[in-house]
Amino acid sequence: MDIYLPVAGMSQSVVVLLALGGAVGFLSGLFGVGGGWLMTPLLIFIGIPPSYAVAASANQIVGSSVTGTLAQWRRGNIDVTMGLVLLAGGLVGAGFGVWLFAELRRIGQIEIAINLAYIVMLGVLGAFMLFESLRAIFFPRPTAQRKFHQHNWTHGLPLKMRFRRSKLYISAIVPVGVGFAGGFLSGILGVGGGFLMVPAMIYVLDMPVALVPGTSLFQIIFVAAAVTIQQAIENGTVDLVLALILVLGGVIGVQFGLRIGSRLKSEYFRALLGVLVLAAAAKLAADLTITPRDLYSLELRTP
Amino acid sequence: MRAARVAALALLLTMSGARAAEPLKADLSDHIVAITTGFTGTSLVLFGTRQEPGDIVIVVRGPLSRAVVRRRHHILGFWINTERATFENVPAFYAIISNQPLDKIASEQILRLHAIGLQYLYPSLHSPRDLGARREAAYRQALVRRQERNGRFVESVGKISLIGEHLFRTTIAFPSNVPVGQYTAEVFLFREGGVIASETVPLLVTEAGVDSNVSQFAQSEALAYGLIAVLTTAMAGWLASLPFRNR
Repeated sequence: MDIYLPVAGMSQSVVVLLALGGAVGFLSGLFGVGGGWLMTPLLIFIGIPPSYAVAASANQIVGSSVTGTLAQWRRGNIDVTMGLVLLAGGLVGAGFGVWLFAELRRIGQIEIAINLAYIVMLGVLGAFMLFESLRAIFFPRPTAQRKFHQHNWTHGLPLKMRFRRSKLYISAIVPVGVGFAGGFLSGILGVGGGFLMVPAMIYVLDMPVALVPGTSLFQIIFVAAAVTIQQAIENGTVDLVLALILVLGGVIGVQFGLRIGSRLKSEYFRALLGVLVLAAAAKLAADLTITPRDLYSLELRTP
Repeated sequence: MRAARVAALALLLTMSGARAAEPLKADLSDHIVAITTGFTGTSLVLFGTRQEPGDIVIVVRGPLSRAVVRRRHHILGFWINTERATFENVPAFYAIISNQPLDKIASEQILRLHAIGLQYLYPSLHSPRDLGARREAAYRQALVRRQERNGRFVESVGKISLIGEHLFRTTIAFPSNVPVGQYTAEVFLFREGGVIASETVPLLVTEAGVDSNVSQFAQSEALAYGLIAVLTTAMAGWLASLPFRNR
């Protein structure tokens, strides 16, 4: 059964789109990863043009992060002050990302930019996941206990702020910078940016680990919303029908993922996911380096 | 049933015979192609009569648009778009149906005059640099090749069925990615290498129903559309969390 995507101007199989949303949701539930970074490349693989894939992915993340934030909110795991400071940087970063996206699209380099960015991102992420899970499999005990409140270079910066919920007194510049980096990736790649922000919040900001997922999800809602609105205005590539089908599939997938994830030993699956992510990066890299079947590409602009 | 059909046919023939001044009449089974939610492509029937023997050529043209053709070069191990040429007045859709190969119907000059045939589309070229004749030809070929692969440029020979001496009919297929806009279907009657009659039938390809509203709204009210997109998915996310509230 095919459905016509009105903004993208093409037909796609509803079953494939639901399955894709479901698969990404399943992995999110199973591993606790955001999944936006998987959504865009998968949409590109099934033939959605990259600019529409990025916009639909950002729009879809609004829905999935609302669901995630509400769950964390009930457990009281959100530092709202920290979220707002991250958001300040996130919105600026998102604006910059979408602007760069529009410029690259205008000069015809958006596809290569998205592909290269994904190769780097998936490569790093896959290697990290594989490494972490292998370490957990072979050396089950934590190797070193982190000292509470380590001092590093970030503590010399001005504009110090108190974050009561996280029990931190740090310069606002650091979370603003972390937010900016996440927002930039969100704007240009349609990802949530959680995979970058979560480690940064743990290791750079030194936040309590329990508060990290909720706080990051909380601010991703607004960054993804800003990216969606900007993409709608600047590039006109947001396809709501596509995004809604993905949200629907994701909702179902997440529940299955959570249920199975709570029963399984996840290190092995995390290692498998790492391998899959590395394979995806290799596939994207191969596509760019193998001589294409046709050296020419075409873009039609109806006035 | 059969008798009725024969009667209708006879009526059509006598009617067209009565107006002998019109050697060619043609029409489409529908003048609007509506793209709705379930649209996966469609086909229309083109039918007509000819009063004199001759070859029939049908040319379907979509709205004129601008085509940007980019060429990749091998840079630092990656294939990257480096060069481009812009073509103006390219029909977004172009289909030719003829009863025999075009080169047997008319000479090159005549075909070129009526812009019949993919090789005789002559859109104007704007290139950032002055391309040589060979490179320009390569870009032109690439444009046609990409459009053919997308199913938007089609050339088919011998797909016109003749019913008796006068009646003819054929089907025109439109793929699911058919561009919206104003189309024309031109029907030419050729004899001894020259056009002796032609007729143009208009056709509109348009988005209809909810989808047309969505895409028009997305274009004209981008900010409002973006806000609605965000609120809708946020709402969907909230609804999704309701069944699991008590965990």
